[in-house]
Amino acid sequence: MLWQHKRAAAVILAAFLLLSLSGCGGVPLGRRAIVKAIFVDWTGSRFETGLLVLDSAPSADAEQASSASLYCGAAQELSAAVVQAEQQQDRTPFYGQNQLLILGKGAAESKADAVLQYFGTEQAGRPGMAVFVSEMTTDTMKELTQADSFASTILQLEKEILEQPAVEPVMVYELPVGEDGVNGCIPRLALTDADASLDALVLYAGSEPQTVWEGQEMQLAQLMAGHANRLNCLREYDGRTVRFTVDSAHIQRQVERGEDGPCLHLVLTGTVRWLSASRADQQPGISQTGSRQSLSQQISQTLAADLQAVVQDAWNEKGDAFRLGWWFAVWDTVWYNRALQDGTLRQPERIEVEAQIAVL
Amino acid sequence: MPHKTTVSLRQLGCGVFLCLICESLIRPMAGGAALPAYSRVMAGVLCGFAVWFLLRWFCRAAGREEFVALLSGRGRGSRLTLLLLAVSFSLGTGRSLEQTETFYRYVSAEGLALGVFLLLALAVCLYAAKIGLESLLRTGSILFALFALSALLLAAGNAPAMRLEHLQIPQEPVRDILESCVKGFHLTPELLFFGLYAHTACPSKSEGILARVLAGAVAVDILLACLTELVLGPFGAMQIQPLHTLARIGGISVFRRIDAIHVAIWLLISLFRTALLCAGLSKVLRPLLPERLREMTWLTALPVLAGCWFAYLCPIGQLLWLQTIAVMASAFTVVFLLWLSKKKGENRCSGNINEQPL
Repeated sequence: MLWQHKRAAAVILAAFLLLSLSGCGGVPLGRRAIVKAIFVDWTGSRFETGLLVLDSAPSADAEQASSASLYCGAAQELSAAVVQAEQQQDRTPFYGQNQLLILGKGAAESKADAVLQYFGTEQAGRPGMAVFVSEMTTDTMKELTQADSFASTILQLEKEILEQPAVEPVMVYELPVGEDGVNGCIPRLALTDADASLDALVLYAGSEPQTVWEGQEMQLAQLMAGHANRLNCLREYDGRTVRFTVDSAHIQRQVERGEDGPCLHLVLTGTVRWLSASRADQQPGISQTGSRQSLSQQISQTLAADLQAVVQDAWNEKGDAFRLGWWFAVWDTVWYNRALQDGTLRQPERIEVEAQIAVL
Repeated sequence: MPHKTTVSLRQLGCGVFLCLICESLIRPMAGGAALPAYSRVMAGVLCGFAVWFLLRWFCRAAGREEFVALLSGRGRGSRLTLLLLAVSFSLGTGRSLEQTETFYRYVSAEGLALGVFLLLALAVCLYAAKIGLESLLRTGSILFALFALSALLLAAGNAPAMRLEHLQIPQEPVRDILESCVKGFHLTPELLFFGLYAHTACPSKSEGILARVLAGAVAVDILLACLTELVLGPFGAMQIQPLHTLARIGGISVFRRIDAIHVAIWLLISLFRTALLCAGLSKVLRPLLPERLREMTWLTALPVLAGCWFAYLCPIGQLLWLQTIAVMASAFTVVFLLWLSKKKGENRCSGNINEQPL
């Protein structure tokens, strides 16, 4: 009988202990504000943050949202501004679906390192957030969120840029803030109430924007950063406008010893399977076979020249956004350390670019 | 009469392996992650070899009949041996509980109060002590399969984000490796299980299993360090729990945010480790207690709470060194006492020979 009493007491005690588990007292989903994007701007004296919350009707499908709300906060410290924004509404913020971090105009120009340093800490946000810069201010964002179609635009942005990307986005963890600030490329987001697209890539060196790449240069920079493997090009060759796509685009890197020390060879390879060319006096879109070898050479030369310009923008005394110095360090660490100290490492002549594009 | 144990060496090896890799999964790496992966790789190999070299003597010595007598509270120096083992397991259990609670509080948005957590965890550990190590080790193979799943998901989910350029280049390799060795070397009490449960019939087998387990644990640590650096690069050095960051980043196909799966498996492994150490503590504590108190398993909670108290008060570096010293002292005491008894036996034999009439 005694062991039966002991067993009963053990079962009751175990049941009592289970009641203290935190899941029984958690916040239900209906009481949570699901944050889809965080907007941060700098006015010159304080941070302004906005938490974009999408609200759905209970009967809505997974990809439907009825409205968007922006809860704003402002303070000198970024953490205080975020807390203030959270307190503008009475629901518990839920960041599990927060995949977008948008820097406003002021923050993009002068506070990128502070923002990325804050959101790079483990408790401040998800490290897999995609980072964008924009020309927007907090007031612009507020106007956009009042439009009926803005919620759908944000969901579409998520789908196109994050879930089915033609080009991989840049995440928070790819932009560590070191002693010399941020070194990397951040895409620029053009956002309206009905449309969202990436229209440029901004190069950051030492926490300030250095160069803005658009069009072809943007694609080559994304290729250098390893975020793309395809180029869509539109060029003029011999009086013809040629539109073509380079598939399986890849850049090989190899260090070789040159006359004035080591030199990094970048070789752009790829295949053109689709091409259309037109003359001014002919209908556009007519395929021209022409001289494939001649066209291949011309395409290779122009792409190599464009890539050289992009690389030289990023390879200077201010920074090395594409981590080209790593290849020199692997080749000869002692030489690399000495050249880094002397300031003779990041010279334009250390990089040679070549392209080998095959036209099928 | 030879001592027979019902613990399979393979199960024991699996259990100890899970305890060792738990260190890599949930141990805060605020200091370690700042060191480059290449130094941690070399240091892992050197430390693993050092641990095997130090403990193989313990495994070999502990396979003898006299050690079984020591564990039973008989023989000279048995109380000292058991006390040192109890201190080792007490510190180990307390540290494991503290690590588990810290990690749980870190990953959950709504955590448990410390008192409630300790109460729940102690209940699990005392139940483990009650059912015994043999029963507990049978769950090791299931946990091993779960760990393999977690590692596979982690690697597959983060493979596209790996970049060679993230690997740090050695600046002062010898200094970095030595620093990694000093920061990374420590002995944990679960390594003593091989001696405590060695088959007296073939003690050399436990040495071989110890070597394989250490090699496996070092290999896992190396792979995780390389994966962290290849994906996160310099960002990883700023993280408190870089492996958890990897879990949050990684995803497979449409499955994103699978960090909850990883966290659940890692916490389960950590709870298994705590329970295992508690079972070991109960085993070595029993012969030290008076006869009438030996069946009261709940008394094991007292040294566990003492270990927790140390773990929360001491800085992590000091606690690891205290634990290492306790484990070394236990192993050394066993080896020394057994050597003494062997010498005594030899002297007795040679004395008998000398006393024979011419």
